Amino acid sequence: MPSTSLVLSEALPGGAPGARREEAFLADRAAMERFLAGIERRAFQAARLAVRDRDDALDIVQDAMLRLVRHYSHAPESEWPLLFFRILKNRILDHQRRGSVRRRVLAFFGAGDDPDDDYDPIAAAPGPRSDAPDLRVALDGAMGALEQAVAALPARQREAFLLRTLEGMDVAQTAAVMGCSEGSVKTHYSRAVHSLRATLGDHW
Amino acid sequence: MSSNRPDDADERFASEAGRRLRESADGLDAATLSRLNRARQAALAEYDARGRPPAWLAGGWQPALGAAAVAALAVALWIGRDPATPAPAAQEARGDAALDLEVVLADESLELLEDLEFYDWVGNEADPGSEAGPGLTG
Repeated sequence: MPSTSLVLSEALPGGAPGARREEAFLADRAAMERFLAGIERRAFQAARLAVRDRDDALDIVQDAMLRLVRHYSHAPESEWPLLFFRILKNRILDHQRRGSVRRRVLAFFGAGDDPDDDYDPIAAAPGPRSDAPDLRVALDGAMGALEQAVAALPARQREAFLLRTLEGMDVAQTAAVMGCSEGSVKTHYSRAVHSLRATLGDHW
Repeated sequence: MSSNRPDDADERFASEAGRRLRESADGLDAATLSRLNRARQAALAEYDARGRPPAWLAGGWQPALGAAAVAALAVALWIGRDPATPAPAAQEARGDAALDLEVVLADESLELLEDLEFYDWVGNEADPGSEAGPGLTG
């Protein structure tokens, strides 16, 4: 039997429980939209540097968004960044694994032995926003060189570097996303910075 | 001092690199931003589909609906029980089902499936009610 105060409280201004639930839903939805809008560009940047393909990176980001909403929208908002980047990392890993398997299968059946067989100079010509590394460097100078160098890092070093510098996560948060110890994060991050400084010496 | 501890130059480099990467992310082209926007809207549509409370919940019907659901479940369980069916019969039925499954999954049954029409015809012809055996009717 609900208490009188409880019954009265539901009759007070503020609406019925259903209406309050709808308000809460809309507030949570707005929070999710703000979060996704605030994170999507950097997520795309991280994915593109990892898979080196704009369209694949967009697909990966969309998949990560959907999975976050599907599985973790009821998690506390403060946990969304870690959950999202953990999902994003796994989607990137899946993409790279599928690419690796595809290459092995093609190699097994003899495809891809001679990359010039199917070379189409028109299809290979860079577009106005091409990710072709040489054009990017020419267009963007130091920025292109940085992106190229980050993309060339080993996966774990790149993850640690981007989560720390692009996302601004601390060591503990980065370790949570990467699923490793804080010591490993420090090691990967340190090696990434040293490698990038060595590579970009002429540009920076 | 640990070899993993970044020095000041490393920190400056990382800070500058992070700034440039964020600037690059903020300066994405319109086509990419449009795709990202569509991706976000797709995720929010999923959010709506999964999270929005049904309209019929907005009227404060939850307690009555909960009680009705419990009552309906209790009635269904009461009516659904069948005291006339002895437990061994039910076990036998389950055993038959398991045997059927085993037969279906056996290798031979795959060949049987390939010639299903033929065996259907054989079965009909071998039926005592049929007028003649296979091959006798021309």
